[in-house]
Amino acid sequence: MKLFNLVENEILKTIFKKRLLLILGILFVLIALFSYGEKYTIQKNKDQLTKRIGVSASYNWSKLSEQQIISIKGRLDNPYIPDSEKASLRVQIEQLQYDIDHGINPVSSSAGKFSSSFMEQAIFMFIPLLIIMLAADMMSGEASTGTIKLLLTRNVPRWKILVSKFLALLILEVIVLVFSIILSTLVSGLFFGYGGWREPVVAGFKVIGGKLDASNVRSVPQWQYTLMVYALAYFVAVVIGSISFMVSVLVKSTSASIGIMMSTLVGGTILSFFIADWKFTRYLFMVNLRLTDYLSGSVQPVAGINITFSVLVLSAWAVGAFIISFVRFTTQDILV
Amino acid sequence: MLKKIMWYGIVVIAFIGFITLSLGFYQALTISSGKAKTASKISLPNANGSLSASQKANQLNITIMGDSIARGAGDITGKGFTQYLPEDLKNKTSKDLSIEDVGIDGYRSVDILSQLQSGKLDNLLKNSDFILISIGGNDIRTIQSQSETNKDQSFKALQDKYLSDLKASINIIRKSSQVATIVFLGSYNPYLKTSSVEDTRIINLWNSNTDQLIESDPHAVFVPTYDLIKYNIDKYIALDGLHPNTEGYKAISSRIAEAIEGLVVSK
Repeated sequence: MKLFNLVENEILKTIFKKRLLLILGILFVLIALFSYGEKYTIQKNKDQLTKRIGVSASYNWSKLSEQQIISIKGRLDNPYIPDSEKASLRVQIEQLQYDIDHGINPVSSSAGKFSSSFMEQAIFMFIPLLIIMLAADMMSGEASTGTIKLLLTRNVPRWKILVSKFLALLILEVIVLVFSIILSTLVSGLFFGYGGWREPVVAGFKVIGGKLDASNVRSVPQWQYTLMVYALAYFVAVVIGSISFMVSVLVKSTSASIGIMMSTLVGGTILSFFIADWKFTRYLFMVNLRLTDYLSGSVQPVAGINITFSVLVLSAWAVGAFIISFVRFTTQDILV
Repeated sequence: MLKKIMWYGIVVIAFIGFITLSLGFYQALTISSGKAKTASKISLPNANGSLSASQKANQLNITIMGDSIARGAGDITGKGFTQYLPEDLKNKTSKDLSIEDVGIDGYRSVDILSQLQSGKLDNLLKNSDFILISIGGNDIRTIQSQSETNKDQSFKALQDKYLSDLKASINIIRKSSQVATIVFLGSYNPYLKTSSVEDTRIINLWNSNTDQLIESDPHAVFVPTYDLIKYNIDKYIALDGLHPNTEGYKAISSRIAEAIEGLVVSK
């Protein structure tokens, strides 16, 4: 049998087991809740702002933005401001000016803003959990239901079975990410409108020598930023997918493999508290998942850790996991 | 048949999706890694360091340092005290006024301490007759958003840190200049309309402890702003609901000018 057909088989199997549908369902419900919450918060913020300033009808945001621009310009002229701050100040002016020019209240949200901020929140826990659901029974599912016997008695080399399952997983991960961007745009658009894709967003922060460097900060349009965020999320999905895949090769029961992956993931976020002092923790995959923080500059800078480091650590885990599953699966005795 | 359509649909989505995501990944990596331009050294106006003696005798030098209020945020011209303080002082003295503003938005007590420790301000401070400091607003603002239950505890920790930073900062200033008059602006509460009794208590405590610390220095004065703003929020607070507006800056300026009038005349 050709590899292509094997992959096709795997994918259709996942679809007809309703696993993928379940994941998309969860995504839909969560995105809907999240959008509603965001809308609620924005409204509350606006109310608070109005109350605080004491304007009864509605506060005049464009005037406020104009004043902020003047204030930032004043700051730019200050010779005592470090150069590294100037780049972000310029982008702030650009953002405010864009909002004024296009009549956008800076407090409000849009489908564009929402879809990237949703994924920034989801990248380190929610997306990995969905991927674990998808990947953790890839192999152990066959073992626990006994179908692995049927699979291996067919005239297909073992490595082909493993590789086809892995490729199927890579494709399913793309599907999950593509659907999450589609769903988050469609659903949040109902709340905030479908625009906002061309608004400028700050990007280009770097972590150099344990300090956040903002000297090369510039603006990119929202669509490009969103694309980058989802691309990083896909990378995270691939890494988590490979590791769960390995666990599902090593462990015979699906619930055990899901349990192992989930506890590692949750435990890892606790370990990330030690990342600055305890060097060993930075080589764990769980603490390196927040890749989007490097983009948005919200990262807590630690010496020696930057996006390249995190990506290398994650890649090493993914490659290692794949090699281990490959070796283990092609050489193990299967007794069912 | 349905299976086939579904499968090809998935292949197409996956293929396009994969290519796009790879491009995005490459962009994300290039935009946030690699070497940054080395930030060029900040060139300070050299006039501060090289005042001749005669110049100095005929000039009153004022340095304004601290947070956004020191820098002038909220003022329509963005100049703040650098504009209004000379207007208030010029008919009180025959000397020329020279004002240098080194305030930076968002600064907290720890930031002016490191600003002072860097030594960049040493020359400036050495030649200053008056040093106006506004700091602490950003420190205390982190408390105001917290829930009531842990407010008290975190307030104590925060205030201790703030007071020790401030004390250290004053010590550094005193190394450069023994006799310059330090004018310290007290904090006000811009959120009066939405704040609780506890918030008011906290800010009063904060101000009175700061006052004590400032007054322990022989050449320093604490100028309160709390009372000025309390019933004048609509008049003195800018649209951002946080900083003084032009009127607010003028009001605080004239208060500062009155506080130091006696010294200005004699200096």
